[in-house]
Amino acid sequence: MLIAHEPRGIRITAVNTCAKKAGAYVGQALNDARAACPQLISENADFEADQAMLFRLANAAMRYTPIVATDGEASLLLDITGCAHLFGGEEKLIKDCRRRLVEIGFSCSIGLAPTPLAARVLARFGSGADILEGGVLNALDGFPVEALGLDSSRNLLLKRLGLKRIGDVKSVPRAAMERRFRSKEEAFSVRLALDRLSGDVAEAIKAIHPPEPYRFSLNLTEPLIEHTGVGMALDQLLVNAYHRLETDGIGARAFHLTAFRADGGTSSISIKLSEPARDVVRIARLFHPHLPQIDCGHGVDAFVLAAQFVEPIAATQTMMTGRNEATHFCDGLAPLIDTLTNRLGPGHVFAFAPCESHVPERAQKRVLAVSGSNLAKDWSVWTEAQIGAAPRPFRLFERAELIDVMASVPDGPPVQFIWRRVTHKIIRATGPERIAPEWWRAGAEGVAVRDYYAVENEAGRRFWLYRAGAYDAPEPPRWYVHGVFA
Amino acid sequence: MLHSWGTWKRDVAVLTIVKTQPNCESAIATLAALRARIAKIEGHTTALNCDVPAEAWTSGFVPLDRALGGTLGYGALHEIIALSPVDLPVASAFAFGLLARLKRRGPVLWCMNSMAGSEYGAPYMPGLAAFGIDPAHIICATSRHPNDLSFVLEEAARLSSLSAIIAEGPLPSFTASRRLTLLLAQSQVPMLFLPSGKAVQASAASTRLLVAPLAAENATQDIRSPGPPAFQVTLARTRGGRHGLQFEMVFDHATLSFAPLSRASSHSISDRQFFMAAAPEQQKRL
Repeated sequence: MLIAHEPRGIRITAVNTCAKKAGAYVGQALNDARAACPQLISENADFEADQAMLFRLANAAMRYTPIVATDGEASLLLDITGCAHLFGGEEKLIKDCRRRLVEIGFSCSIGLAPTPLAARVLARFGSGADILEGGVLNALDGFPVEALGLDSSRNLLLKRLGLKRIGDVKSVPRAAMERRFRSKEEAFSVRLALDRLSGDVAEAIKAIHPPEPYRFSLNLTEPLIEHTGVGMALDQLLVNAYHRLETDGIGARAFHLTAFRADGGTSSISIKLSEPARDVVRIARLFHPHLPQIDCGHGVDAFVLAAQFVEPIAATQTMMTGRNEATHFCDGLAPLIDTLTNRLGPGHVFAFAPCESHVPERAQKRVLAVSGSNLAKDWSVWTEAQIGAAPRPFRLFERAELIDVMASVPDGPPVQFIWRRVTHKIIRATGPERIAPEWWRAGAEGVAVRDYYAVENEAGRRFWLYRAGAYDAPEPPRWYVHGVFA
Repeated sequence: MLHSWGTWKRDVAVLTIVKTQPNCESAIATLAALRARIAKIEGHTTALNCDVPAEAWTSGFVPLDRALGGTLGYGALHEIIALSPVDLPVASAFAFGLLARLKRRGPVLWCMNSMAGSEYGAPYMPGLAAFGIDPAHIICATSRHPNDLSFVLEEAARLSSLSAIIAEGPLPSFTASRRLTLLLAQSQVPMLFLPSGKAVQASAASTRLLVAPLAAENATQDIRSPGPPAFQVTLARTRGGRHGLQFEMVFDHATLSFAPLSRASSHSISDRQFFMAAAPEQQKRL
């Protein structure tokens, strides 16, 4: 028996079979229930955990259909249109569903009907395993009006009107009935419920995961408990996916594999690609290092592979030598880049693109190393513009480092500087190259003008230093080392 | 292990020849033939006194190329070690100088630690373009853990569509480096490894170069401004060549080639300071 603290005292929110036998019911005050039966054991209800559990069950129910929604506090709504035959028919699907839920310790009541509301009516007020064929909605006429899921004031009014069953409500002319309600909204809600029951008005199902157009499932007769088996199942799914994607002339940029455990749990892994692909070997290789993350537990008995972000891929002509003709420098590299990105994480594999800015740290930006980009063109344009420009270091510190400097003349290059606790004596220097902040940018105000010097120390190490600010400014200038020359 | 076995075999061959062939000239010829055979067994085609093919990868600095036995191997692991750990950028500059000499153009994978950007400086294309490398060809991979680096290198070494791999980080174990060399030999992609640690350890690298910065040659126009980058390079290991030699060279950005260091700058620092103070005509006389 679960209890919750409410404004009007401690109330019972859920009862088990024993407590029900003892006379406790949901909504009863705990004191009343205790008075009737002192042996009742109560626990505080944890609604968040309930919701989380329901969500986990919803994920587990994805094995039956891609469209699963949570419905209220303790029900799930599954759109099994076109899915039942995969499990040997509707009865078998319901039986399988019930078996799984009972095995992991739930009791359940299932209803299957052409409309969500009808299924809800069957599940809550039916025998618990009712199947309603399409076109025989009159079978629901005998159910009480509460089954429509209206709020209590409307139920009360309908009862006062003597309309106790759904069939009674349906038989009353709508215009006559609607006049009895206080407001149009109330009348409308009853009408809407009836229309939804019959399917005249469609009820939207808000699926927990938006359905994937490319979804491939594999049900196993015997649960898998080893990862080698998972790899084989994955291969099978990828082959299925390949044929379907190839027929449609598309590839996917992401693949998501979900494993459904016999105990109702799910675990999933996903990989991303730098270009749309459908190649079985290549995708399997990317999945491979992540396979141990699939928790096999007491056995996995179903897999679902979803191909996401699908895009058309042009058919490639394989040359006689067996190698594809490379049209872009990245072409042969996409598998490598994918492998590295999936291992190192996003943002760890990148190329560089030129950027129109004369501030050194902004002159290049990191971009995704993907095929189809026009980096080569951008850089050749950039190179043409650079003729006669001052030399730049080939390594630039991500953050310019502050140094202690001794300069012989205020506006000249330093004589020596201390960087990372090492003194560097400068024997040669060129400069200054003045680089002003880009005043048109936000945040440029108050940024000092920089004077850059290329210097070489006595050992032959070459640095790119700059002085921020001038000596005649109220604040003394600061010196930084910004890069290393070859 | 395999490499040391090769060396041992070579030594025995030398001994045998000296005993049985007192004629010096024919001994040298036989030696060369045997070396070529060993080189063939060891899996690299170039050996001493062999003709250098046109598409070979050379440094352009003749003494070093001769010591290397002609060329740097394509599908091989080359270690470029900075003599002082802080000089890793210098070693990488030398590595890019070698890459500039690579005839084959294509994507270059540069693997580094994710902290390298603040420690040694992040790759900066506007400067790297001076090596004649197309900035669009550089792909950078940063890893946090040495295990990730080994993974990256093994994956990259399989791929023949890369033109070269540059790696900075802790040197892999001997077994791992042996695996890398086998993969590289198959894909024919050169890998330049720049170890970040100080300790030199056993590896299956076919070349090991120790690099230190050198005060550069004076620029022709201005004695006070930094000239081209100069390196002191020690060939610590090579296959089919002569190791143990030391070279002083500069990298010329205009010709994209290594050249000998001019006499003027090979003086000691006190000399150079003297030069700086000296009048121009005095310099000319020297």
